[in-house]
Amino acid sequence: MRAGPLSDKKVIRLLNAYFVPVYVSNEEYRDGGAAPPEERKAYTRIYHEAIQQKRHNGTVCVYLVAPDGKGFDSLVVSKAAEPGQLQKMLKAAVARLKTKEGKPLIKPTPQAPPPKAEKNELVLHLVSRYDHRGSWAEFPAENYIVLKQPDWEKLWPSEDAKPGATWDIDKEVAVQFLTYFFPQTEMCDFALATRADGPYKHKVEQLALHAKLLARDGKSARIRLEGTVKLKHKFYPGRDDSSRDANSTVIGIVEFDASGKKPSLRLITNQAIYGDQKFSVALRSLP
Amino acid sequence: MKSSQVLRFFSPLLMVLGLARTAAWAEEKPVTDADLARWIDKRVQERQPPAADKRFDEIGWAHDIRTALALAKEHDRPVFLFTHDGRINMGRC
Repeated sequence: MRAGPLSDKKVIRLLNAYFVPVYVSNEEYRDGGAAPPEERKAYTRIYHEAIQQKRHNGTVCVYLVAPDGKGFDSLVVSKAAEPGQLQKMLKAAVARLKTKEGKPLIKPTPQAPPPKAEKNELVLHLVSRYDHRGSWAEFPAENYIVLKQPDWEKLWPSEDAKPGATWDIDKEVAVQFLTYFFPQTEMCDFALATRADGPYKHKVEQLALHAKLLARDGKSARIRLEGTVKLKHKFYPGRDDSSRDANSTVIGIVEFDASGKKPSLRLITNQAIYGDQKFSVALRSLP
Repeated sequence: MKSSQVLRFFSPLLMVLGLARTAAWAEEKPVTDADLARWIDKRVQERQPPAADKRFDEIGWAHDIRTALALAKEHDRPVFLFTHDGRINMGRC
């Protein structure tokens, strides 16, 4: 949907000019999910209304609800994603309700903003994408990782290290970001994405991140990183596709400035393959 | 067509392919310490999502269903509710 109709300028214009758009993740709205009870109740009512009226329904679905709160149309995603179908549905709704054109009621804003973090925490932004395009590769996957001060301080070389010195980055620190070095997959449970006991049987099988001190001047330091990471991560949750390994070689740089405060970290894949498909990752710290 | 003619015909193509291979080989050479920051930053920049991948952000999304329903009633507009798995905004879905 995101790569299809929800990136279509005509659909975007219709949604902004005539509708109140909202999207929700099922994992927030199921029993025990993070959504408040009243929110879950509203979701359930719209879903059950579609069932009672024998309209399209399901967990991955588009629902239209009239201004009086009553649902009147719906389309499962497999249909809504077909070329022209969503636009047709939206136009029919506007004609039926005689909705007047207007400006977006909510100002469009970036939908994947950085998480709130403490001043001394290092926020990392990761972009991962297949090297080809089409289907799952139509847009990139993103993650944010927040390194706490005791963790990013472990990137620092030892007090007596001189340029040319080498060491290994603490694996417990490196795993916090290298565990996301895999491309887009069918992810139904974001919260369980990297759990070994989750539906993707995610596992960091091997990890090494070597550091080399390039320069040092007082508190400032420049460090070269090179390493490898080998992950297991099933493409489809619960399915047996054990051949889906993500293997990457990585290269990066850490720079501490003279202030001695949190560093700048950039790390990319030099070569990466998931199953038999190449992908690329870029990780960078945010200011 | 004689072999010499074939060679002459395809030689520009072979030259281009050869240059491309050379460029690819050059790309695989280990980056020097001196070039590291520039080399990494260029690739980090190239791998950021372009605007075309962020059209989803051009939609004025309501924060939740109850907010959408309230705005719909107030402004006489229908609600468009999309329910999905994972995190569509993060591309992990």
